[in-house]
Amino acid sequence: MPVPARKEITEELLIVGEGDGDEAFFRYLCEVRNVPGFQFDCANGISDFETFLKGLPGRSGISKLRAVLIVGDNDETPDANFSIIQKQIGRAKLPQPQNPLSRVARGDLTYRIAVLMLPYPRIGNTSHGCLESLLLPAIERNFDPELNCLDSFCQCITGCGKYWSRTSRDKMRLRCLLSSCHPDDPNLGLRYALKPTLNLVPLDDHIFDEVHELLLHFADWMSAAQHPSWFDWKAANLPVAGT
Amino acid sequence: MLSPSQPASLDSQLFQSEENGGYLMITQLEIRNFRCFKNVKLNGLKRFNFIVGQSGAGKTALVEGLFLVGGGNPEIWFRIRRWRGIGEGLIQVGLRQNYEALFRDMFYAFNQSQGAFLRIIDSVEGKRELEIFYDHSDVTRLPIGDQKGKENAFAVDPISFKWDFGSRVSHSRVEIVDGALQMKGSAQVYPVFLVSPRTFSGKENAGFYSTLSRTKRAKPVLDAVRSIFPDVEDISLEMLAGEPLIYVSLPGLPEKLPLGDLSGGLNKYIEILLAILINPGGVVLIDEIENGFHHRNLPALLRNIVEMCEENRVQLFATTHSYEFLQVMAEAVASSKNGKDDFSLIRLERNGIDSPTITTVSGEAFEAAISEDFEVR
Repeated sequence: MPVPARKEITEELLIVGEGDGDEAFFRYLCEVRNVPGFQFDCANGISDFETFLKGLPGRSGISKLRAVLIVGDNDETPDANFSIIQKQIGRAKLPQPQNPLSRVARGDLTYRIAVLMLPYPRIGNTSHGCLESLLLPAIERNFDPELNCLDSFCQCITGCGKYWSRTSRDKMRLRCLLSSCHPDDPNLGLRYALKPTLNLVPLDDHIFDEVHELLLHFADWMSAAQHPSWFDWKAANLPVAGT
Repeated sequence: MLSPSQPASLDSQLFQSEENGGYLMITQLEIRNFRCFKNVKLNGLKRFNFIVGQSGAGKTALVEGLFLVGGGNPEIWFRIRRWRGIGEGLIQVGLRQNYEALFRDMFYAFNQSQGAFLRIIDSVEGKRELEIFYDHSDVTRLPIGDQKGKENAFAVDPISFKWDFGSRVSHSRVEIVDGALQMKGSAQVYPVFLVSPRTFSGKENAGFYSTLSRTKRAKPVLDAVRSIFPDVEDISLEMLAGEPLIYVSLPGLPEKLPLGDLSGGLNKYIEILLAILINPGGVVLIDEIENGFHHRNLPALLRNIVEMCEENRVQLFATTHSYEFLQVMAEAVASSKNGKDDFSLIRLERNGIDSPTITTVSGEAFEAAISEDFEVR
C-alpha cells in the first residue's frame, strides 16, 4: 500500500530547506547540539517553496505547527534569491517577510514564518555562497592534510581559465574533500556525509554557533510579541558575548 | 415504513431540486452533541468532498449525520443502527432505560439532556435543521407488568425528531404503541443517498436499475462498467424466485450470472453508479470508497465517478483511508470541468477522547500537498 514520503507534522517548529542537504544539516546539527522541538523537511529546489507552502494546510498535523523557518541559499545574488523565496511565500497566500530573519504572522494562521539565507553568518567579507560555503571552513579544519592538495588542484583548474562562482567553487571544494576523505564511496552525497557517525563534518565547529544560537532561541523569538527582526530580538533578549 | 437499507432519498421525485434553480450543493454543516461531535462547524464544502482521519476519528459519524439530517422520519436512525450492527431488539417495553438505550449513543458523551442538533446550508433550499430531543412535555406512562404503580419506572419521554427547512417544520416522534415502536409523522426527505459496505442490497439495486432502465437512463451504467470491466457484455434484470435481480452477461458462459456472484468491486461500483444516476441533483455519501477496488482500476474508475457526478450534478462525500486513492483522486479532480475549485478535503483529527477537530482543506492546498507527497490523511 503506498504511503506518502513526508509524514504528518509532529513538531511545533518546522525547518524547510532548499534541498535534502539543508534538511540533513539542520537535522544533525540539532541532534549533535541537543536542540529539540524541530521537524525537518525540504523543497525540491529554490523554486519549489511555493508548492510546499501551498500544500502545508493539507498536511496532517498542521494544527500543531507554530513556526516555519524557510532556508535558502544566497548564491551570487542574495537579494534576488531572497526575493524569489519571498514571492513564492506571497503566491502561497502567506504573509511575506521583508527581510531574511524577519518574522511574519497573520491572525488566521497558527504558524509564523521566517526565512534564513545561507551562508549564515557571512563567511569572510561576503554573504555570497550556500550551505556548502558554511560547511567548508569546518571540514577544511577537519582535513588539514588534504587541504594543500585541494588548494593546488583549485589553483590549477582556475589557471586553466575556468570561472568558478563562489557557490560553485565551494561546492567543488567540498565535493573534492568529501570524496578524498571517504574512499569507500567517493560519490557519497552531502545528506549522508553530514551523518555525525561518519565524522566528516564536525558539527560542533564554532562556525555553526550562530545557527545553533538561532535554533536554540527560535521558538521564543517566533512566539514573541515584539522585535520581528531576529537581530533586534536577540539584542533585546540575549546577553552579549563576553559581557 | 421504508425498507431496511433504503436511502433517505430514494424518492428523489419528491424533491425536485431542479425546480428550485438547479444544482443542489451542501455548502456548510453544523453538528452539536451528535455522536463524537460536541460542536463543529464545517464550511467550504464543494462538489467533491473527501473525508479523511484515523480510525475512530468520526468519519462515518459525519456521513451518518449528513444522512440523518436528510431523512424525514426517525426510522432512518434505526437503519443507521442496523448498519452499525446494533439492532433495536434490545427494547423491552416498560423500561425507560431500554427505550433510551436506543438513542443514547446518538448523543455526544451519552449526554441526552441537551439533545442533538444538525444543520446543513445548501445552495437551493437554504437551511435544513434536525433537532433530536426528549420531549419532556409529553410523558408517556406504560402501566404494564408487576411494576404497575411505580410511576417513574414507567415514565417515558418520547424522543422527538424535528426537521426544520425554513418554511416548514415537521415533528416526528418515536412512541411505544402496543409494545412496539411507532414513528408518527414525516418530513419531506432531502436527496441524500448513502453507499457503505453495510448498506448493499441486491433487491434495492435491482429496483434502481429497473427505474433507470424504464426511463431509458441505464446505458451509462453499462458504458461505465465496460470501461473498467470490458468482459461484461450486458447488464439486465432477471427474475429469480419471484424477485428481480441484476444479472451480468459474460463471454463463454451459457447463462448470465447474478451480480452478487461477481466481484465485490464490481458490485460496489455498480451500486455507486446507480446511486449517482438515480439521484440527479442530489447528494451521494460513500463510506470507505476505495474498498474492493483493485489499484489498477482506480484511475479510470474515479474518472468515471467524477464525470458522472458532474453530468448528473451530484455532490459527493466519501470517506477514505487510502493515500493511493487520494493520489488518483487528485488527478481525476484536476482533469474535471472545474478542477480543484470543485474539491475539498475534510480532515478529522482527534486527540484523546475529546471531540474531533475538523479542518476543510481547499482543492488547491490538497493538490499541492499530494504533489509534495505529504501525509494528508
